[in-house]
Amino acid sequence: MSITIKGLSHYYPNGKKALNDINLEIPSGMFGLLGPNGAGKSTLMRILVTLMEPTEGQVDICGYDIRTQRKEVRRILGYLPQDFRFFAKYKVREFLEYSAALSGMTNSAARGKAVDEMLEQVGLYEARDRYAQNLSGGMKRRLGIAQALIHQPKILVVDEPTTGLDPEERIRFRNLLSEASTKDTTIILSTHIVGDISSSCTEMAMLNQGQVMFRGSPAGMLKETEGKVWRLKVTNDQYAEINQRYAVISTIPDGLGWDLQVVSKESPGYGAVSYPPNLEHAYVYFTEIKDKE
Amino acid sequence: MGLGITNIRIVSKYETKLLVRGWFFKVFAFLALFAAIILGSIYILSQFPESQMVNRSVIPYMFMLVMNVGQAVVSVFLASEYLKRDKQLDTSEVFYTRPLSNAEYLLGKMWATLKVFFILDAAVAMIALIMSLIKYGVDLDYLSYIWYFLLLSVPTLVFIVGLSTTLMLILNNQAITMVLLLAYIGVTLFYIDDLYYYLFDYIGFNIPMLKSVVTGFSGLPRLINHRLCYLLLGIGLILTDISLFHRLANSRYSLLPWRIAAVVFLAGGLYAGFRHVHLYKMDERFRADMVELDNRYFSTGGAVAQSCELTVVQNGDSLNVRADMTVRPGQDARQLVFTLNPGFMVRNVSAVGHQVEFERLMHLIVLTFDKTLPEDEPVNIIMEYGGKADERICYLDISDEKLIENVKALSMLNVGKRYLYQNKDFTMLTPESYWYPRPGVAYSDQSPEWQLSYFTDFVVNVTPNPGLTPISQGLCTANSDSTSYTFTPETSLPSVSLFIGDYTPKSMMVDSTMYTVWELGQWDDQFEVLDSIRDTIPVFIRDIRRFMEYQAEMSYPFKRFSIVEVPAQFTSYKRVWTSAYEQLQPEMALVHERGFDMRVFQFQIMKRMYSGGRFNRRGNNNMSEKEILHNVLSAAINFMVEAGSYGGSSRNGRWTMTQVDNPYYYHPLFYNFRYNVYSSDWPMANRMVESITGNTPNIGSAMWMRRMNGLSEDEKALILMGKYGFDRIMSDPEWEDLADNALTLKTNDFFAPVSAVMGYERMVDSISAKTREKEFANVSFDSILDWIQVYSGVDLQGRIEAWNQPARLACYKIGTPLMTTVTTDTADIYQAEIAFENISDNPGYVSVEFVFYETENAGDEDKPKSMVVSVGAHETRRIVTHWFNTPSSINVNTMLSSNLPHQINMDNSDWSSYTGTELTPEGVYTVRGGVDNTAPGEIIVDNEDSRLFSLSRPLRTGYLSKWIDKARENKNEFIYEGFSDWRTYTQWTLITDQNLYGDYIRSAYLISPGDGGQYARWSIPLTVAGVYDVYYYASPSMYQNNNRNRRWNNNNNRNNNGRRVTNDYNFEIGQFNSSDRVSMNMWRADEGWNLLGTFRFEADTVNVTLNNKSGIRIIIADAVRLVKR
Repeated sequence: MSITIKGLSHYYPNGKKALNDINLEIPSGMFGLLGPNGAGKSTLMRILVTLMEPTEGQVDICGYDIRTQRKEVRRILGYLPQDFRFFAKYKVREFLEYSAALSGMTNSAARGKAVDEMLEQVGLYEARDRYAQNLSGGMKRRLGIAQALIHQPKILVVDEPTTGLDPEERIRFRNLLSEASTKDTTIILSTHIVGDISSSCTEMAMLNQGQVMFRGSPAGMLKETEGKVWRLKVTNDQYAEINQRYAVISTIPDGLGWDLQVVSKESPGYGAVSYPPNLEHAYVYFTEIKDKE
Repeated sequence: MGLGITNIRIVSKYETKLLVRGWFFKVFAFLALFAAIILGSIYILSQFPESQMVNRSVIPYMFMLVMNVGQAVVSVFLASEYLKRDKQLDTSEVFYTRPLSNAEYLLGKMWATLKVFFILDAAVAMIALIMSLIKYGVDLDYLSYIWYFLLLSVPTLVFIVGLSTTLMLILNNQAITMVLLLAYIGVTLFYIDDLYYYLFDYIGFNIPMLKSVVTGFSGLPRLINHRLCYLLLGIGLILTDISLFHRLANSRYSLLPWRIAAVVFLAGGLYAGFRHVHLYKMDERFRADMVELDNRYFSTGGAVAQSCELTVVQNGDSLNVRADMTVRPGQDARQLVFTLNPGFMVRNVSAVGHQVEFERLMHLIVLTFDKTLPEDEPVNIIMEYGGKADERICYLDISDEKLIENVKALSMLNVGKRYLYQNKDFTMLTPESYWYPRPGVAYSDQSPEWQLSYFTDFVVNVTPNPGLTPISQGLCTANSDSTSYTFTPETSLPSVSLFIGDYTPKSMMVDSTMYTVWELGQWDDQFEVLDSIRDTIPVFIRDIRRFMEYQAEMSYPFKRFSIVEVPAQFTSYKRVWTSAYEQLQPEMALVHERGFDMRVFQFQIMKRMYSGGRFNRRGNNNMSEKEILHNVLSAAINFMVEAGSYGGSSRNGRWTMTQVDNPYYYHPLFYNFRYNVYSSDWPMANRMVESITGNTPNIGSAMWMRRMNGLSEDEKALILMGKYGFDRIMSDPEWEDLADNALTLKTNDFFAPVSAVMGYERMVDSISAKTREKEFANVSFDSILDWIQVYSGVDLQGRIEAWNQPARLACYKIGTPLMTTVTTDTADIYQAEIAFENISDNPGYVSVEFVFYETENAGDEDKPKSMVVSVGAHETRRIVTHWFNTPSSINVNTMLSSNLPHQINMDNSDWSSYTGTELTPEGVYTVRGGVDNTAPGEIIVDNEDSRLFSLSRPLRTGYLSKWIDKARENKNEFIYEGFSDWRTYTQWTLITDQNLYGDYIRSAYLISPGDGGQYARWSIPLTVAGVYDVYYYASPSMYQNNNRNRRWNNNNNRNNNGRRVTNDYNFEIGQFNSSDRVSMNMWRADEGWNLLGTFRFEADTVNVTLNNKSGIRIIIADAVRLVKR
């Protein structure tokens, strides 16, 4: 296993638990970490990239303990933070060079070559002399992944990478990640966007309120949700009632009433028929229903 | 620890890019370079103030000093800025997850900041250097550029970068960090100043750092220690930041070595700071111990040195001296005490014909003889001593605070202070260094007797280090191979001094006096300006000498006069007991190297000034080259003519004007080194005689100066004299500026009975004549007093009062002068009268001078226009004088009195004038009934009357200003404030002025205009009901003088609300609970009493209230008069 997390908890100074006894094993490849905002994803990410010290528990990254062997962990780590938008006054190439140099690439010729290759790879070569702060959102994100990959890390942690990107950039970005995952790199992709996971991850975990709700493959998650999604047509009055009792995930106006999709362990009645789940349904099932059990 | 230089370099490389790309740094860099070019253009390339530039280290010092203040401020912004950036932006977090250590990251960042400033410093220094090369050529002090960079820039930057980062890391708030740091910088720059010997001066803005061309820095080890303190603290703080940095360390124990290193550096810095203070404290302790020893021995073994032959052999930086003295012991002397610089080790003491044991106690040598020495019988004593002189003995009488005070050049460069030099290449030993043994102690704070000095026959033999030239007083003869020299003064002298250095003389014999300039090195470039008028120099010398001799009414007593060049840091202090500064020695004036702080010695500049270049249009363009050079020469040799000038100084935020003496004022050369009056009862006798007979420095007492300071220095001295003994005033450093005034007042009072009998001028002439009977000899004060008694019949012995008792001040009511014009057969005679009533229990004297527009206007040139009149306790005296013309005014000086102002000028427009038929014979009459300036039926209430006059309470002010005010009030003996037009008076402020009303204190309260909430109230008790005229005492001259040009505006003033306000004072006048509002236009008011109105009053209290609502700049609450109809 690339990463082994045992009994990991983290408390905020106000006593609130951000992470509660997390136990996870993360293999190499692309690993998705799904969860709503505030689920503790970012805290977990920040602990993994050594920006934060956990209150309790153990994390082992490629054989290194993140509490005592931070330097070794940092050597094999690449990180793209969630809000990667604000740059100091560096040019694209300088920023990447600085990142490379800090990661131990001290030979300037080798570094220059690696930087240029990386710029080509992420499609920023043409923009290499522009100030990073003047790039578009997608380009910034690509520069972000470039700096995280420039030293060929064994572990890449990517926090909410596609938020705010247009579909084209999002696809481009996913492809970049997929490409990287083929090079024996463990990529942890934290997101609340279900599509990011379904399209690229073979393994995943679902986090809610600081706890792991699900650990397995996206297919496994779908499987657990089978028979819990219902489709039904209701009137206005009935809709109000349904909406109170069940997790409604889709409402389409239908003549005088509504065509609804509802996630529920048992049939909500009103002539509801079972419906094949997708990952989004599974997400709702795990966050809205399973969590409350 | 794993500190990787590579990583530091990488971080610093990229962080530097960020810094220089920031607009803040760009602006600063631009300004710094721009300022350097401007400063360079003004101070180096242009012609004007370059007089100070002759000392080549001044330029790098000045540039680095200005730069340093700027960069101290800017680095605060930058240092806290990059941490703020780190905190806010996620992009920095991607760097935090890299394997570099916290130390590497932070040190890289710090180094980036330091590096850009260092580069900027280098650029500024380059500008200064290039401009200096253009101006002065290659003869520059290159090393000083590096010195000032190391001493000023490096410690300041390291410290401020460390401090601002630490604060930022602790407080986590950029705004608070900046405010704190900028306040800290402000406080250190403008307030803390020399506190704890400049300990807090991390910028190096106040600590002396000027480098002398001759002797380098003054006290370099201490300077380095001081700067090291901040360098170490700065490094310590930077190392602390590594631990404080908000990023998890690479491993659990990686911070430990940094913490240890931080503690070590911080401790080192603190130790250096402690050591800095400790060294000064030790010096003070040493000085205090010397004084204590002096106190113990000041009454032991008095003696006078009759002759003293000094044989000095210089050996490296050490001196070996043999002093062969003949001394005359005083009464009952079994022990004799000598003072010799404590740095010298005494090897041997012998007394011819006596068995003697000696004890060396710090700076004293105590000789104990086997039997009591016969009084006045000469004893031959030989002392052998050697070593290096210790500076700490100098100026034991000067307070520690004063010693540490800065000497400024070019208004911002700090020069440092040295009193003696003894190096291999340069030695300067003035009498203050006690380089030869002198009978008596050095200083005592218990008796002023130590001030007595006597004339001695000196001979000085000097064998200097090879290649050096010695200078001392007297005729110099060298042995055949010029390895040793003998100086034989033609007369006895009070002291001798010794200079040994690479001196070159430039001499000129004029009328059998040898004039020499002794240069250290060469100032040829300076002198060659005057080459073309070389042959007229004697004429100028003759002229200036004649002028001085005429002014002093004495001849120049020596056969030679030398200007001796000494290092820039040489300093001296004003002494109460002599008007001579150490800059003047018998036959000599000691001038700073290249005359660096005296423009008159910068002939090139003076020449350009006189020829009126582009930058100076004051010059007369029609002057010929020769005339210009003559002016230049004349200005230079006039440097000893002026007694002093006025200077402003700010103390505790209060601006005061003071008289600044010219230490080169020629008088001591003519008087002090030639005459000596001694008295063991009155050690001040010599100074008193000098003060009354000599042409002592007096640059006049200006009325504006009194107004600005609140009281004149004489008045302050009088207030002190009424409270404290004379000895206390003379010795308290707090009042040393007033000691001179106290002495003059005391002297004039002491001799007043004689001047009352024979007139002031005759008295002065007769005392002068007696004092000057014997030149270069010691004259006893008693003999002068005896002679005065014979001459005038006045016995002054009885006036020698207890030294330690407060003076008994008289107090006078001064009558309005009376002028009666009487037409006689031959001419109109103007009879001027004035009366004084002494309302105190102490008798006193008043000096009165009748002033005419021109001297001949008095009608009789020979008739004395001034007189001193005695006024006994509770006595009234009337002076009647006759003139052929009207005096324009009368000057009254109330001498030892508590009158305020102490001197009054009464203009004839305020006198009562009559035409009469009969003259009262001239004379001074004792009259009954006192002086009453009030008419019958008149009641006057003045602000000095605390029962009938009251003021509103001041507005509530902030705690800070209250605290500051309280701190300022501390130790303030003088309740009267200065008055100036531009100041704002938020509360009633007490001032005195001769234009104000008062019995013997002419005072009033003043306040700035406001909403009318502040008021002054006169409550006048009436015993008789009736109709009364109510008058107010106005002094428009107090505010009109400075406002004349604003007069028009003032008539149309508007207040803050845009409402039109008038120049009226607003009064309420009434009884019981009803009152009338009365206003009076104060621009049109007359000086003195002005009618407010006529009222009917009952026999009860009348309240007159003045509020502060007015358009006039100040409201003056003075006096109210009621006159019954």
